[in-house]
Amino acid sequence: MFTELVMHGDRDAKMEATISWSWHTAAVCRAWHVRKNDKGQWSLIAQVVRADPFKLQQRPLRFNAPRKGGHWSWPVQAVTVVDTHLTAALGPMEC
Amino acid sequence: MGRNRFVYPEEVRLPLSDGDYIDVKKQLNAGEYRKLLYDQFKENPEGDKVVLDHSKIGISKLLAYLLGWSFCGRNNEPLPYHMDQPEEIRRAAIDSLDTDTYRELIAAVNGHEAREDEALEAKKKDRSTAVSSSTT
Repeated sequence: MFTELVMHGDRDAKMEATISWSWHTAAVCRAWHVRKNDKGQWSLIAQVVRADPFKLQQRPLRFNAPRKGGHWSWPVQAVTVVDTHLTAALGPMEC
Repeated sequence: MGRNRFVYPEEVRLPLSDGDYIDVKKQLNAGEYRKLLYDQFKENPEGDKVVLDHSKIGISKLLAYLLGWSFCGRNNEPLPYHMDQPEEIRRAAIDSLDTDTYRELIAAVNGHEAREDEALEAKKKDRSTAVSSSTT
């Protein structure tokens, strides 16, 4: 198993990730970086393409990153958006 | 304190014939409702007024409400329908159904919408009764 891991998507629209609230899209992100540190904590930094402030305040939220044949998904524990800069604390990855 | 005026996502399972079911949104929010209205109209080339496009009424409502279904293909393989799919893929999936199923879906969603409208009206009545009795 990894002790540390970094995953990322570039600025390409094909690599857009989303933060979802049930079936709603709360935010669309590009240039996202997900990191698991040596303590097993996951975090997200991303550039927001568009965001819905109301939906971002709701719970539960999920971060969904595209991969071949589907998505990786994490529960969002806390999220902050300043201008177009999004940071979030994530729970353990769920495939 | 005022009442909650926001729509929180809730799913309702509607039974269909032959043991199948669909999952639908309990209630549309304002954005979804506005999109549903807009999607049912088309531009009128002869004037500045928009006109109702009868060919879009049923499909627009299904696209607005439908979240998933239990349908399988002829080899019993599940044919999923979910909101992560782009709208054109979901529309194509609905368009591939047989006409009986299509009509059954529309009837099920219309019935669900009517029941929800009734429930909302009843709630409104309860609130106005509560207000008038508290002011007397």
